Amino acid sequence: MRRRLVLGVAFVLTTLAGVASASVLSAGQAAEAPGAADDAAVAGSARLGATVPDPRGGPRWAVRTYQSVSGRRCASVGRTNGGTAFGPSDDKGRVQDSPASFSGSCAQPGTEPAQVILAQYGNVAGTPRSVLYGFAEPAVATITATGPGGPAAVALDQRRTFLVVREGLSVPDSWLLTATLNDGSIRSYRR
Amino acid sequence: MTASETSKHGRRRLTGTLLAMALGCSFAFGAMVQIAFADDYHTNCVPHGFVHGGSQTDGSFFSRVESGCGSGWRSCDIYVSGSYVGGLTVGNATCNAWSRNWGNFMECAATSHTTFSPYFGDHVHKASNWCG
Repeated sequence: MRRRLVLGVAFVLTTLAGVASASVLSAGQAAEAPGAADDAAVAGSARLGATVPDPRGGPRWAVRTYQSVSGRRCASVGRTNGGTAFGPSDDKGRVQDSPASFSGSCAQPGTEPAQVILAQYGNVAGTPRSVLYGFAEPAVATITATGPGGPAAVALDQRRTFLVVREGLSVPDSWLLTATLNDGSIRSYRR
Repeated sequence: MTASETSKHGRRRLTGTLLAMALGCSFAFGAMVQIAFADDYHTNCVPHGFVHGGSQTDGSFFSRVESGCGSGWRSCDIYVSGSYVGGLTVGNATCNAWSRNWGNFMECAATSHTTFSPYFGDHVHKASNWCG
């Protein structure tokens, strides 16, 4: 009996020793809690781009872009009431306006012909959504997208943003966006 | 020599070798659990994890994987009380899922699930004031 007790205590102590060792070793890798200061929006730079309807109605979906203080280009997706409000919608279809501030995913312009982002929503008015969006450099002539359910119509708006909304969630690599450049070459992006 | 022996009463007892192995496994288990739920934000190739906004209680927080460190896709998802809220998948950009883009949620019950293929697989970062 005493032997079992000693063994139990030994297992507990070695498990705790493992926890402590991992804490010490990982402490040196801890990053500063980031405010993503480099990705803060330049005041007045936020613009609404492409918009599309939701498959089940309600406020339209929209891409919002802004420039970060470090010169990066940032994009987020949300709902719009047709005015200036942008953000998620509540159960009654009202748009909850949210500031651009640190809301977007940012990339250095020119590093890729297109920045392609897949956003997923677990619950939009009771059902999930997959939203493929982003922007294309001037070198891109046209884009096409295929996702769960087949090809999707995609158009670049005047700000060179694009947006596709589908019902349901998407497994990894289920979306393929193809950008045809002005020189005829093709770049593909899987999400 | 076998890893364990049978006593005259028919019961198997631990040898020194087996005991050392078992203790080693419990040490590794503790280390793995600690790494899996290590901290709210850490660096593996790129900084990533759970980021509180201006406060830990205002419902504004981020699941984030920063850009850089090569190509490959990054995903940053938000769960609250174990339920999937949503998230993003991006290329060489900051994967930045802001809770406010999905709604209003209890911050202390939220977790950030991050992946950067092929550099690290899906793992969980809890809010630093975890209450889930």
